[in-house]
This record gives sequence, structure tokens and C-alpha cells, in this order.
Amino acid sequence: MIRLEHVALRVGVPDASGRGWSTRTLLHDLHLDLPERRVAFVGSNGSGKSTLLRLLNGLATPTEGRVCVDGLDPATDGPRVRRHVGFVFTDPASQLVMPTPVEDVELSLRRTHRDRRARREAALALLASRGLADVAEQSIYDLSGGERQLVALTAVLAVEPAVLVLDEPTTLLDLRNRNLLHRTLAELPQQTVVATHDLGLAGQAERVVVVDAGRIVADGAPTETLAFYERVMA
Amino acid sequence: MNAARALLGVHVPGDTLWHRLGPGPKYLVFLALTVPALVVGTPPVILTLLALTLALVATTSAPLRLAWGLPWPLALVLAVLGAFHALTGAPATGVRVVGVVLIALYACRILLLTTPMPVLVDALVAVVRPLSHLGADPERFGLAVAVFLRSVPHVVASFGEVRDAARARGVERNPLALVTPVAIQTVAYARTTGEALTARGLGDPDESSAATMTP
Ligand SMILES: Nc1ncnc2c1ncn2[C@@H]1O[C@H](COP(=O)(O)OP(=O)(O)O)[C@@H](O)[C@H]1O
Ligand SMILES: [Mg+2]
Repeated sequence: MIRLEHVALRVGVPDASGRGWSTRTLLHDLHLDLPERRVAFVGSNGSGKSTLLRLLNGLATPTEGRVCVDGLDPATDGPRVRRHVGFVFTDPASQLVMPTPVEDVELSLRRTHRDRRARREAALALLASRGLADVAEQSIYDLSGGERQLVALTAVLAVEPAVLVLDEPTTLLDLRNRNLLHRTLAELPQQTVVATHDLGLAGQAERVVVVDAGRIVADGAPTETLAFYERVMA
Repeated sequence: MNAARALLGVHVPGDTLWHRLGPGPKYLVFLALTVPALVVGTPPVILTLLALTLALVATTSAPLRLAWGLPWPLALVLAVLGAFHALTGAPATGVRVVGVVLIALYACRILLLTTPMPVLVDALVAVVRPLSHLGADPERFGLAVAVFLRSVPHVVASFGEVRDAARARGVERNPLALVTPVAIQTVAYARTTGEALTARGLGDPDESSAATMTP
């Protein structure tokens, strides 16, 4: 289970005069228990969704309070948390490191597969299981946006994380690829936490949390919270 | 994007002698081409080595466009360098400076065009492994080189995009209008890549039983 205990996050920013620094609060006293298997965060640009997700795998650490993911604290247990929590970014181009999909998935498997040939076969099998067999050895530059996002997802899932966090995974996708990703995510056994502007994706969740200016303004079943979100934010 | 991708060479599968050779021998070829150019450096030696390197890189089965092509920003910089030396009365220096860069670049392509990245990373990891008791982390080193090679086309491509954008605004003659956005994009790219690597746990020390990887 994911738990945020009175988490606040503040950063120093240059103040208006440009000479001194002032403090800006990105997240205000968040207190959340997230036992649901499908959780979505929605909110306008700059509301703090990414910052919140980054707390879950230690990319960001709270200034106050504590984060706990299945008993692990991302602030003190970084490497174990990162193996436990997979993270998919909006732009797959920034997280694919290798020139081809199969090589990138192989990179994920270096820890678990010592033998190069076995590693390659395992990587090819994982790509094939997501319908990516045909593009496994193409340059990642030549893939469509949807294929690239699926490759990024495959590379992250290759290490079998228990929790999957996705930051606006469909924002750069067209309608068809968006729907494909919705179906793919719906079938995952992992607990998934997404931040999204895609109300279709948020609607698949069991629980939707609406964030505004670093605070939680609604929290509950998707029908009510998304109705609130559309009424208040649009 | 194609010229950008090809700066250092993306692996092109094939069945040439180069593809069958391991990274080690290919690295020796790289040294055999670049070291004499650096040490001797007279125009006849440079030009001979450059011709030889160009001939060798053409035998990698990569299309000549990929094997010989140069992205325009690099071609421009080299042309300016060569012209500067020629005009200031040192044409031999111009040949040496430009020639050594080109020989190193094309010799590097022989290795990179014919070696899949995982093989290259494994080879680097194996080379660094003896240093691991001095505190070096071979996996990290291999990863760093892979990430560096991957970043080169990004930076070159962002030059192309930024030039187009500057042209659209009619400011392409202002060097700042070119350099500033490229610098910003490069830093942004480095940050997002760094975060993505961290998130994937790729920079983390290895504590599992599969701590060492056989090359
Ligand atoms: N390291 C930082 N320093 C200063 N401000 C930041 C930092 N990270 C994010 N912010 C600011 O915090 C706010 C929330 O950002 P973010 O979490 O990315 O929002 P969202 O993902 O909901 O669009 C934004 O106004 C952003 O500019
Ligand atoms: Mg965001």
C-alpha cells in the first residue's frame, strides 16, 4: 500500500527582485492512503501531479512528513524502492537509452540475466508479448509515438516492479494509441498510479484524486470526482 | 535526423568481416588509424590515412550516406577551422587539425556501425572490471558511454531544429539565437535522461546475487 503522511514539499525559488531566494510550497500537507489497485491523479498543469508522483520512487523527497510504499521509504531506501516501483514518463524518447527496443529492454535485464544470449531472448519475448516483435530491432527514431511508449513500458515492466507509476502516459499519443495504452494498462497485474489529463484513462481508475495548487480538492470514485473536476476546473 | 543519427554511427546489421570481429580488434584498428595521424601529422600521412579510413568505413555494409555523411554543423565548423589555418598561412596545420578529427570520427564509425550496443557495453564493462576493487563501477561506466553515444544525435538534431526555428523568425544570423536554445535543450535532455536512468534503477549499486555480469 502507498501512504503519504502529512507530506509537504517546498523549494527555494529566486524571488521577484532577482537577488534573494524565497520559499515556494509545491505540495501542502498531503495525507493519503492508497490501497486501491488503480489510482489516478488529475489536475491542471502545474498543480503538482508530477511532483507528487516523483515522491513515490524517491525522485523527489518531502520537506516534511513521510512517504511509504509497501513498507519502503523512498527517501532512505532508494535502490530497493526503484526496483519495486516502475516509473513511466510522458515522453518515451527521454527514457529510452539504447538505439533499438530490444537493446533497451536488454538493458533492464542486465541485473537478472547474466548470459547475453539468454538476455536477448528474454527481451525479444517480452517485446513480442506486447505486439512489438516486428519493431524490436528497428531504430527507436523510426517507431511511432505509440510504439515508443509501449517500448518504454515494456522496458520498465521487464524488471517486474510491484507498483507502476505513470506521468501523463497518453498526453503525446493519438486516439488509437491512447486506447491501446488504456487497454494495456487495464490488464496489468501491478498496482498503477497515473497522473493524467486523459479523462478516459482516469475513468478506468477505482479512485480519482483531484489536485489543485498542491492540495487535494476532491477524492473518491471516478464518476463523482471527475464530474467535480469538469465542473470546477473547466 | 538522418545525418544527426549518423554522426558516430548507429549499428547497421550485416555479415562483413567487421561484424564478425570482436570490439577489441576493432578498437586496435581505431588506434592504428588515429595514433599515426596524431603522432606524424604531415599532410601526406594525414591524407593517406583519411583515404584509407574512408575506404575501410565503406566496407561496413552501411549505406555510404551513413558511412561518409557529415552533419552540417560539424562540416561547417571543420570548414571554418581549415579556412582559418589556410588563410593565416598554415595550411599544413589546417590539414592536420581537420584531418585528425575526420580520421577519428570515421575510424570510430567502423566500430560503432558494426557493433551492437549491448556487445559494446559488455566489452567496456569487461575492460573496467579489473578496476572495480579501486572503487570503479564497471556497469555504470558502460552505461555512461552508452548514454553519451545516444546523446550525440540529440544534440546535433536540436541544432537542426533550432536553425529551422531561427529561420522562421528571421534571426538565423544571430549566433546567440542558435546557441542558447541548443544549450537549454541539451541541459533539459541531460536532466530528463538522468531522471529516467535513476527511475529505472540503472545507476544503482548492485546488491543482488547477479552482481557480476559475464561479458
Ligand atoms: N524543482 C522545482 N523548483 C521550483 N519549482 C518547481 C520545481 N518542480 C516543479 N516546480 C513547480 O511546481 C509546480 C508543480 O509542478 P508539477 O508537479 O510538474 O505539476 P504538474 O505535473 O501537475 O503539471 C509548477 O508550478 C512547477 O513550475
Ligand atoms: Mg506533470
